[in-house]
Amino acid sequence: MSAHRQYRSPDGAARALAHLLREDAVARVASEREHEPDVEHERLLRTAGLRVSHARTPWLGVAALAAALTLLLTGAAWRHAHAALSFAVDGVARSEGALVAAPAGAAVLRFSDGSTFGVEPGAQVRVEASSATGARLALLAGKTVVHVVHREKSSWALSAGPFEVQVTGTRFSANWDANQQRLIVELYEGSVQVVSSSFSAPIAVRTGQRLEAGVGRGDWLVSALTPPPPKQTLQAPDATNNATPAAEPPPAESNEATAPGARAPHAGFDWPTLVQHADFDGIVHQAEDFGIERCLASCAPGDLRILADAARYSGRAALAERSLLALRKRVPSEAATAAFLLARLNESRGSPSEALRWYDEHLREAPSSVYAAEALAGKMRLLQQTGGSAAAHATAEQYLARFPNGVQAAAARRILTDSATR
Amino acid sequence: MRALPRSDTVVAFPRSRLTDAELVHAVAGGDHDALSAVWTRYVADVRTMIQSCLGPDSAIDDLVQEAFVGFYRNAARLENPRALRSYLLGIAARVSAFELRTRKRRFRWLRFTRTGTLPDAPAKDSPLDPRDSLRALRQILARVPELPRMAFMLRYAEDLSPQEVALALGISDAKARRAITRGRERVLALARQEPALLPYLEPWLEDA
Repeated sequence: MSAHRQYRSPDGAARALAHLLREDAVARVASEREHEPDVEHERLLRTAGLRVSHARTPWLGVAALAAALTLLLTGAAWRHAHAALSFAVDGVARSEGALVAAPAGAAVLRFSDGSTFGVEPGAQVRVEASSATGARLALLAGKTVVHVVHREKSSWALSAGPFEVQVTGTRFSANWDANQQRLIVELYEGSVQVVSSSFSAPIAVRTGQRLEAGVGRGDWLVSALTPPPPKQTLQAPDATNNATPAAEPPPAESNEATAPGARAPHAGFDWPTLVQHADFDGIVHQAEDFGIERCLASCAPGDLRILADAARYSGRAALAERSLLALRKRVPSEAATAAFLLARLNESRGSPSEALRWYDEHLREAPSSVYAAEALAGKMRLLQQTGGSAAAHATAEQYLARFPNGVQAAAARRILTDSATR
Repeated sequence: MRALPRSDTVVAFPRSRLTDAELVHAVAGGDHDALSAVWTRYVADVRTMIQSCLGPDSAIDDLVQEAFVGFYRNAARLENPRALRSYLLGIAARVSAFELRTRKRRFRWLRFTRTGTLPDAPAKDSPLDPRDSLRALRQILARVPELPRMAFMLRYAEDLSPQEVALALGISDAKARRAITRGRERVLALARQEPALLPYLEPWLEDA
């Protein structure tokens, strides 16, 4: 090739060469995916679940399998007598060490004896160990609503920071604020015992009582639970705000009837099932049949939230907005969460000023919410997009002050650097 | 008239419908379902990237695993969860580069020649075989330093923007732009000396 020739478009030439490689790769990947595509997926989940590095050498895997099989056989008889409770999250089996988080909506951790831990949005629960008589769990952040089935021999413990809630058979919620190091336990049924190094003796919390405790000595208070505990808590994000709370704690013998999730049955739609099948159009159509205005005015808060999510996921931004506005209006305690979701909705549909307004509203109404970091990050992002780094400077500082190790901390630092150099 | 809809339980939305950012947060929280959703969404992209970097290779399955396990372990530290695809492609580029680097070390003692490269076979009279072009291009890329090579692949094979390349490689925008330019100049300079690549370059060349 003569040396005096030059590239008319170096980018075009580079792309032509690189696409040679890519097209070859695409063709190979397409043909390879035809055989056993799930094997590699399973392998990843195994690796992630066990947190061990993958073995490249097949015999290592075989040896590990043989060792596991030996253990399995020798321990079979013992396990038969002492089978540990198994558990699943939203129907998917999990193993010890599993971290249950509910980034969007809530999740339900269900044990094989029927005990359940409802993990509310933003909360994180880890199953440390399970045995034939119960399990040890750690509440890392947020709120969980617990129903432990009463049995003759049971041993359940939920730890949160320096606290441990010891449970036999009961229904309660625990809310752990990791930032403020405060625990709130609300007893709906039965009793629990809370121990901590900051208590001189274990504190018993009984039906209808609420314990709030900090980490300092003497920083705890047991008070009456008002308003009375809702019967239909557990999985619903709106659980504590439902308009029809239980009037009195139920009698002990009526465990099953008043278990979390039990709700006065009434015929009609089953939106959670439709959600499970990702039938968001179905939810919206049912709401339309019922009457959107009527639903916005009278549907349960949980249904409004489902409708808003279904509308959002099926691309009906206007309906999502109306549902969230109705939720804000009807359920004041859900207003801040709805404001955050409205901000996200507006950001995703390219309305930065509206999104900013809702992020601000959320931060004003619930400055310490589980969405606070996301809201500040969203505000910072939008300000940078619309006005550059200088406009986002103050928010970036605020973000770093509150969440120095947050996922957007590096972005915030970049904004500060950018705005300082201009 | 139908009765009010009810919600005994609120069930998490299927992970496959979550946004990238939501998935990253869920994976950071140890959610294996979310990891599955990330896998389903991006395994083909990651595999293609590794395949592009290495060509047909028996290590590809392992490297795809390495890329996703790397993501799983570092999800909580992801600076921009919305740039998940760029991030995964960046990991894919890095695990491929690491594989090439360590492989060179592992097999150095097996080399037949001082440089490790076998002499070219005599030129054939037959029409150009695309496999020759691919082989030639991979040999060229092997002579490009690691960072510019990764930047070149991400920018031109995956069509990422310079900003996305920066995110993928965890470097500044300016450094990414420099790496892209360096990679492109090096590859194009070497490629114009390679007859097997001439047909692909011709449309982009003109007389000075």
